[in-house]
Amino acid sequence: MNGLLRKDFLFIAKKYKVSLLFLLIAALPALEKERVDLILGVYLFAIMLSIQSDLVTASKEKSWKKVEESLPVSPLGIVLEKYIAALLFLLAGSIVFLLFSVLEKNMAGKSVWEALPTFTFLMVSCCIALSLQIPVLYRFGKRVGVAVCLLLAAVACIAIVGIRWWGWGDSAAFSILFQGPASVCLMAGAVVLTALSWLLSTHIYRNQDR
Amino acid sequence: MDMILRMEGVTRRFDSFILQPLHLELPGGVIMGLIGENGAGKTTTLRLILGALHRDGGQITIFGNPLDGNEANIRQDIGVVFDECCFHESMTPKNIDSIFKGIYQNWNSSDFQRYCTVLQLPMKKKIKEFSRGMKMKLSIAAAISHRPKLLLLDEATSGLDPVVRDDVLELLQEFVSDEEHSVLFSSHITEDLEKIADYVAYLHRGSLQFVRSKDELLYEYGVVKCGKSEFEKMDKSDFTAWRENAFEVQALTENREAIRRKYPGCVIDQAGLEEIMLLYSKGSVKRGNRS
Repeated sequence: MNGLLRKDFLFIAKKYKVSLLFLLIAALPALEKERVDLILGVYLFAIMLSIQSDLVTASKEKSWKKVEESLPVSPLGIVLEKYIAALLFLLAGSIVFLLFSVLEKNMAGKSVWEALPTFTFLMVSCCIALSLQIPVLYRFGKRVGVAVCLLLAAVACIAIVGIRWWGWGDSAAFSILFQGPASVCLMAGAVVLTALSWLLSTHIYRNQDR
Repeated sequence: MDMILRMEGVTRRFDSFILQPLHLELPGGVIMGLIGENGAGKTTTLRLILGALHRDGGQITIFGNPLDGNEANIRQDIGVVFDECCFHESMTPKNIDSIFKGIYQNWNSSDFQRYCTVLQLPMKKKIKEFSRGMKMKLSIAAAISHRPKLLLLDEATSGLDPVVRDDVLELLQEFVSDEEHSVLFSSHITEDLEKIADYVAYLHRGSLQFVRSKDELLYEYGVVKCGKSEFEKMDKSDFTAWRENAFEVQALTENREAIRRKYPGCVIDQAGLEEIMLLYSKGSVKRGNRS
């Protein structure tokens, strides 16, 4: 499976190097204006959706599916690799987001712990998006996958606007949900959902064209 | 001789195609050509061997192990080359090396680099800059660098120029030279198979018509060419298949010498694989030879 991960990392790195560079450049001015959650969060979420889509559809489109069928890796392993790759990208992006958020709070003279709820929110949202998008991509292909991706992005935009301007981020409910013990439960729920999604995708993959 | 691959009564039904019970044995150290028209079932057969398709019936044994939920392990010793290069265009042969190193236990980077050098494939050049011939050479280098015992080729030489095809065929002959490796080579370029195949299996509309040694086919089979009236006087049971056109009748026999003795005046030529395939697929076939 290491080789498959390496393939996906090489492919994504080659395709997204410019976007990722732009992301970092865009995040720097956002630090001073306290807009890391808005700029980096939204951009990261959108890129995550796009990467997940590419991880699955590029394999199907570029005839790689034929190679996959001939590799000494089970369908369970092939689909698991996609989830691991997506989660690793998500983790890397989230760590960058967290670093920027902590830096931002520090520069504004606020407690660095205030960065945690938005970070948890981003992680949970991305896990839910991943759990929905990957089975859809395996089952219905790129077109429907992109439609789901746009729908999720719209929901994410509303959520970010709500957190930023409608006061959701300052509400007690938001702090309770995404900070402290409840956030751990939410994260655990997201992990369980991802695992279920992996099993569903494997089932779909195993029964496709066979 | 140890069998690398054994297929016993393997069947598969699709909506518009049925693979009839297929019996096929591939010994070690041989190249077997799998010929047949488009849609005859060649790719289906290869996918069944890989375990990429569920079979409706029958048994497949590879390297002595029944294919039964252990496909992933068995594929460690199988190499596959498809009719197109399936690697991402942005990758380089160096990337392919690092990817496959993490997939195959027996992957040998120095072998891969040696093949790339011999086949004149630059290690750091992107695949999108390669010609079709170079892409296919890369596919073959990648398929044999984990030293598989069985190599499956699915129309791997189609669309290649004669020079590249010759390079590929040389590589395949080198691959089977140690008697431990075998190649199942699906192709409709019969010329390639006439050059390198030891055995030929012919699939027609999902049914295996014959498996014969190539030498037997080329030295024993013959095509009688005669006029219609002349053919009417001949015993049809002497021929496997025949085909009429405006000028003559071409009839396929499995015993050229016997026909030469029985009909001393008739013109009888050696039958090439292409003629055999054409007569089977487009001609009338003796009852019992076709299901």
